[in-house]
Amino acid sequence: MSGAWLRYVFVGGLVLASGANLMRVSHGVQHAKKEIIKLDRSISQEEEAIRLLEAEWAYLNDPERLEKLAAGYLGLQPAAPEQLVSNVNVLDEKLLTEDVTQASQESAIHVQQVSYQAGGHGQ
Amino acid sequence: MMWKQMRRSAIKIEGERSSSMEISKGRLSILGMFFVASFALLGLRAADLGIVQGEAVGFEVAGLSSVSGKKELRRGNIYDRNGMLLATTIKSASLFADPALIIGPEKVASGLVKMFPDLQYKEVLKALTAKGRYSEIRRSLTPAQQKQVLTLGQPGLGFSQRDKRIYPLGNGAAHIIGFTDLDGNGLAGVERNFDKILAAGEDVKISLDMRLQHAVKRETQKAIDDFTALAGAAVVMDAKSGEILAGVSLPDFNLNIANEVAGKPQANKEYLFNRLTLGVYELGSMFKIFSTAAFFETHHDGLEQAFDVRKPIKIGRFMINDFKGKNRTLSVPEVFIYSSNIGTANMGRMVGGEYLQGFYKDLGLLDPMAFDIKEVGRPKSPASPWKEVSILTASYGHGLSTTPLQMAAGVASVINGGFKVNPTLVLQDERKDKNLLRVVSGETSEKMRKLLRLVVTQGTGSKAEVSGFSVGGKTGTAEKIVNGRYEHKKLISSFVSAFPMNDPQYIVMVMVDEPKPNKQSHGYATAGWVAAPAVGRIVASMASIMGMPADGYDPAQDISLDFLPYIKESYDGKKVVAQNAPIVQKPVTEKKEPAGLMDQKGVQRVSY
Repeated sequence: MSGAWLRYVFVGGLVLASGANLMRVSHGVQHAKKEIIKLDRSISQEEEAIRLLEAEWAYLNDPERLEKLAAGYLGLQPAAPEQLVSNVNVLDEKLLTEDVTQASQESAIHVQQVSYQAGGHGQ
Repeated sequence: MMWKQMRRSAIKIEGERSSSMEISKGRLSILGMFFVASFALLGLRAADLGIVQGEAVGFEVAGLSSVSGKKELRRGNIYDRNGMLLATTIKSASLFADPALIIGPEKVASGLVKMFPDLQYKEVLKALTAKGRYSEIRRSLTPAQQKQVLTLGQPGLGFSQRDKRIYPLGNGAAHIIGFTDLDGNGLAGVERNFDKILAAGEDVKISLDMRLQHAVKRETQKAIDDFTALAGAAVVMDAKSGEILAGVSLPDFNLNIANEVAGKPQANKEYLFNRLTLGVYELGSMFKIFSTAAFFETHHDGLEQAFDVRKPIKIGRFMINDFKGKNRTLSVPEVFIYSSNIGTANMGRMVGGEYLQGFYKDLGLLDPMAFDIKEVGRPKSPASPWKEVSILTASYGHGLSTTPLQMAAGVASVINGGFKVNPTLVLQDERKDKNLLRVVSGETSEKMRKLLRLVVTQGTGSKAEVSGFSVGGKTGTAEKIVNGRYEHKKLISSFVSAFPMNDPQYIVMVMVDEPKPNKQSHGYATAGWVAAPAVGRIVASMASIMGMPADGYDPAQDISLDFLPYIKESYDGKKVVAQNAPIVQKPVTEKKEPAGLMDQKGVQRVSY
């Protein structure tokens, strides 16, 4: 008699458990759907922000604007053709004498020492 | 018989379990099995969806369409060849008011006017107290401005989003990029011609290089300013593929206010007019490039010909004369670099009207061109078939008008080895097998390259020279036609060039509309003074922009050297300096003048 009663309890428990699980899953799906909508909206906002930034980047890189700024703040003018060489070897050999190399090496060491002191702490 | 047996056995079975309890238990168990089977099926289905088809279903859910609704379709962007953004659509917020919900409209109005100084207090108050539920107050609010409005704390103020097309580079390539109306439909330029593609959300990349575009605009504007001219146009084109790297028409306008500008088309027609593709002008002596090429094509010994240019050609009411004529016999190279009308007209007569007209047509100079924007002009030429006077004048470009872009493309076709070039804004795939149409032979193309180079080293185009780039070109100065008559003081001064002349990469052309002489030009407003220097400056800027060092050029290897023996003196009268030039016999044959008609007063046509 009690064996049969146990069986009913067991099956009843299963029914309740599966019902509860169903509720849980369903609730989870609803929650996930809401999350997706939220994420969609923030993706759209980010995409819009990216578009605005792309447009601003293009505006900041307008060659006319850069030319004005370069001339005004840096005193730079458009490069003349003579300032371009196709090959470093074309440069006058005088530029690459021993004296110059020595001097540049010395100044390089000096820079290293200065930065060593400025940086401090061993290394 | 069988039936009876079965019934008996059934009764027997039933008989063994005869109590009603037993029967209902049996039925219950059948029902139970049915439910178990159904749930098992459900379980299998769940397993199938979750495990077997798991990924596919997952993507579908993540897809925006199934959950949050359709994704908005935005008009495609336009980029230049380097990926620089030329046109894009952003969401723009407009401020509107619901008058029914406004509390204390005067205070609100004064608050708004403080925030937006461009608004009028009266107008704003009117909008806030109007009938109805929606009145627009101001367009294009920045996010910062939106925050400001929110601080007013007015429930009756709100923002509506709309798509706005913006052009980050303002005036840059305004005529080529074009613009849209407020609903996003393309009205001009690339926006119009590629409207279907853009409306479908696809991005478009065009062949322009905006760095070069800026340099070309700068130098063309300088030419216009230096010579107080009305307008100008310029183009830089790839000599082989026809890709347009820079296309300028001045004056131009800011694309971001294009709707305002286009809204008053009559008042703004000078700005809206695309002088590069839509404007049709008599470009003058540039046609000598084509008539000389036709001469070489039809006369294989053409280089040895010579022409006596001492006397002008009289035909009908017409007199063909030279500007600063040399008053002697000229070789063909000399005819070209001194830009002699008399010599060229004689060459044209030798070529013949049928060939000459057909040649011009093949080069695409006589008909409207098929181009990537719809704003295209209609060239003018003498009525067909060409009478004798038309053949003579057409050979030096009189009575023929075409767009600057078609002229540049025609020159490219002649000097690039002889293959037809179609101007395009679309990037051309180099590897694709193109159907190349030959318009001149390779030998003629080479001869023309040498002549064009000579124009710069010895002829009218000396101000276009940039050391190291082997620039070649041709000047063209023509009188404008105003009310059916040629105006002596109103000129179209242009220069078309190609470089480097041993293997041309680019065509550079500048046209200036109504330049006026200035002090530096000693009273001249001709192409050699106005347009050639602008071309030179553009070529010089291309060194750093395009990364073209000039140190590969050796003057002793200049392509024009073997033509130097045909030149007695430079256009300016200086002695010709030849390095390592071979010695060649001077040409001997002379060409007779045409039988002259009675000398009559006529319109003197001067072109150089």
